[in-house]
Amino acid sequence: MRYLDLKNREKIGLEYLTNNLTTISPYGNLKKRDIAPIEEPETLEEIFDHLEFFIKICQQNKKEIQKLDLLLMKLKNISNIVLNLQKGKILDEVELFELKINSMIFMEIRSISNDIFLKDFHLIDLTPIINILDPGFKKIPTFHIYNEYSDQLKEIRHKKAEAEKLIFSTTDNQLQIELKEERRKIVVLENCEESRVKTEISKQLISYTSDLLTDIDKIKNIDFTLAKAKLALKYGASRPKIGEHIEFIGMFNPEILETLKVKNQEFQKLDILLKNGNTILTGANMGGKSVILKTLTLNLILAQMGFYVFSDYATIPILKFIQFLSDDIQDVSKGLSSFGAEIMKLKEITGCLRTYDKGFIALDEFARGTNPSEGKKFVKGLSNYIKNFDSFSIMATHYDGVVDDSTPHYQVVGLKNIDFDSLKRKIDLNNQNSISLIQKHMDYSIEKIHSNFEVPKDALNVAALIGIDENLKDIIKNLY
Amino acid sequence: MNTKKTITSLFPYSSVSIIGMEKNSGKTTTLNYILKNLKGSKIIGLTSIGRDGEDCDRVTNTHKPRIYVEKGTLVATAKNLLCKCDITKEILSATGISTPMGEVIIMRALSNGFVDVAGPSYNSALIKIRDLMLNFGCDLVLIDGALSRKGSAGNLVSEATILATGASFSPDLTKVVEESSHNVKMLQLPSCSEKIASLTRQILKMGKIGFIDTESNIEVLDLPTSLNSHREIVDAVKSNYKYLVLGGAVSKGLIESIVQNRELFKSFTIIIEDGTKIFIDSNLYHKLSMIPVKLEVLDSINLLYLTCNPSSPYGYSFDSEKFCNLLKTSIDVDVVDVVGGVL
Repeated sequence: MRYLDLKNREKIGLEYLTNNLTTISPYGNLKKRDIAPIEEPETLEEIFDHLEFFIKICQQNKKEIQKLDLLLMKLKNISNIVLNLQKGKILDEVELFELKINSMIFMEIRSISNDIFLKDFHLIDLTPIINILDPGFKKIPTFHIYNEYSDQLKEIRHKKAEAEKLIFSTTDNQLQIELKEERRKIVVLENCEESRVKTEISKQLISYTSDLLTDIDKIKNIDFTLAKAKLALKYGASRPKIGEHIEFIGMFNPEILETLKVKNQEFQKLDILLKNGNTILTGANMGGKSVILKTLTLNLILAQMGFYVFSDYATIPILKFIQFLSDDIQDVSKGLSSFGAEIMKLKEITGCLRTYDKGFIALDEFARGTNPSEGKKFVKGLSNYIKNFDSFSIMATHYDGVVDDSTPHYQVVGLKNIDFDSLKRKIDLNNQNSISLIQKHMDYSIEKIHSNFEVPKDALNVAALIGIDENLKDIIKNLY
Repeated sequence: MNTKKTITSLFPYSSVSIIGMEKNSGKTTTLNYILKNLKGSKIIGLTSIGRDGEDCDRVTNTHKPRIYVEKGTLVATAKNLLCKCDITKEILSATGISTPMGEVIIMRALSNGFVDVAGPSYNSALIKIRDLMLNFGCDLVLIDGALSRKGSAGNLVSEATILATGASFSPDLTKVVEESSHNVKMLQLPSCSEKIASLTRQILKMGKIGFIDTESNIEVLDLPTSLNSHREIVDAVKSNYKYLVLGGAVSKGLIESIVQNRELFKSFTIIIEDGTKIFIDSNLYHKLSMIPVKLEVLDSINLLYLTCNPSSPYGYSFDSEKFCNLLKTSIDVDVVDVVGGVL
């Protein structure tokens, strides 16, 4: 898939977000299931315009939105009924009932939405449909084959009632059997006339099917856009600008934000700017490099899917593909080692590069599965290869010396400004919690490094903090 | 009990279930009897747990009576059976609850006629249907319980219950009377005390099976059901335990194991949720009470009366008077003959 495969969509937290998207109607739920990235800037801008408008409405017209939510909740999916009708199928009582009830709800939605929403979301008047299904203008949300449809039906039903009265008042068994037989014949007549009426109504309704389908589509969009607006409001997401480079100021990851909230911790917001070509990301172990890559990829794909992004400010380019090579892609089921799987993925990525040119690639610890001296060459080679295209790429790596000074380089601040000895003492006092203490002192923000490209050598420090055998630590230290 | 009393005794309730001892015990006959005699006094809502009201019994291939409803009655049945209902129908709701025969539809009868009823087959959906029908303005929901689905008599689903018994159960009159009276006894098992009830609820919140000891401490076993866990339950008994709490269905096998380990369970009281949850015959119940082990329930069932059908669709029948009199002497609830009329 050009815009991340399913596994990666889940990995970066896109699944989490779509699951948290509160569409209400069955139509909105369907739309939620296949959200596709958009490649035309005009369409995307229009979607953002709509979303901006819906957010405003959500804040200003809370009462109307509440009413709308309740109505959306009552809807059932009648698409199949409408499509069958369009194909010329004769609807039965229950289908006609559903059509009537849902059309009535559509009209109620219309009375609210046409007042508060933009013209693109205005529903078509379905009164003609309701009139066909409510010949007595009773406006009751039930349906039957009304006597008003046919005088003959009225007459047959009258006869049926007479017969029933007779049956009830007769005590003679033989006579009762005869009367029941008589009634049965009338029932057959009633059934015949009812199906004639159903055929006739269905024919009358055919011409309105396109109106119904249009309204269904509009409701789908209303429900979906409302859900997106509510999500944006919940997290304070912002509208991305469509531009030539990637820039996020105050970027965050809603899924991790929620996890941290439970632990009473905060997400350290990130600022990042990517220009065409490759960017390197380094940092201490446990510094959150993977989280940065995931958050960046998530926000990019969300923007392109017409969502607001989780950032205070953002610029995004229109991307033709988005690829993510994660650090745990090993695919045992296919008999591939981690390196094998990486190379398979790489083949896909270079394929995308050659075909679509402009895209985004995030690589988490590429070539970590092979020996470091060769791995370094792979990373360096890939970095140089990507320069030939109009794409954006970011590589998190432990290898140093893989790129020259001209390649932009971000580094997680990590434990750089920490006094290791005092932190170690704290941890020794409180051995159980070494991981959470390290997390607490870790500075997850990133800073741009301008020269002296060198990867932080914090592995031994971090390992010592978590706790490794003292002798082993000394032996390793002597090797430095 | 005369017809009038039979009918007026239903008036205080908004939901009544009719359950049968066996297939063909006369549930439908009972239902028709009630529907006919209630005519005009109440708006009835009718549904069933699972399928009922067929022309011909699907299991035993014998002729069955059909359900005849009056104009104004609400009926909840599966969509595919609408064509078998010859009433003029007004569709009130498509409930979204599905059955093997399609979605459950609630309709109002705009004429008299025969209906074929198949409601949902689990209790939570049945409760939803019942409440929907009450909301549509009916006064009394009648629930037709199907073959060994006594669950619909549970308090959650219906406020009162009618038990139907009949000759079809067995050609041996004494056996029919004995098992009928046993079934009544099970449905009328005494409730446990308030204190034990609250401890039982605590146990059922945490699991399905548990014990209460002489000092009101509780112990909950980590078992998903009492079915096939006889050994574990017997092994867990300690000398100071006094009550055994069994959530969900209680099988014959478990009670047999208890009878076999009678020494362990001497003077025990077994608490079950309600009388529809235990599946043992009169013989086993007798053995159990000889240990002695008492059976008590968390929620008692409001059994209104027993209806009897002296003729069997298999081609034999009992002497109606004798049958009813035998039943009356062995059971302390009212007995109604729904075929022969007033008793």
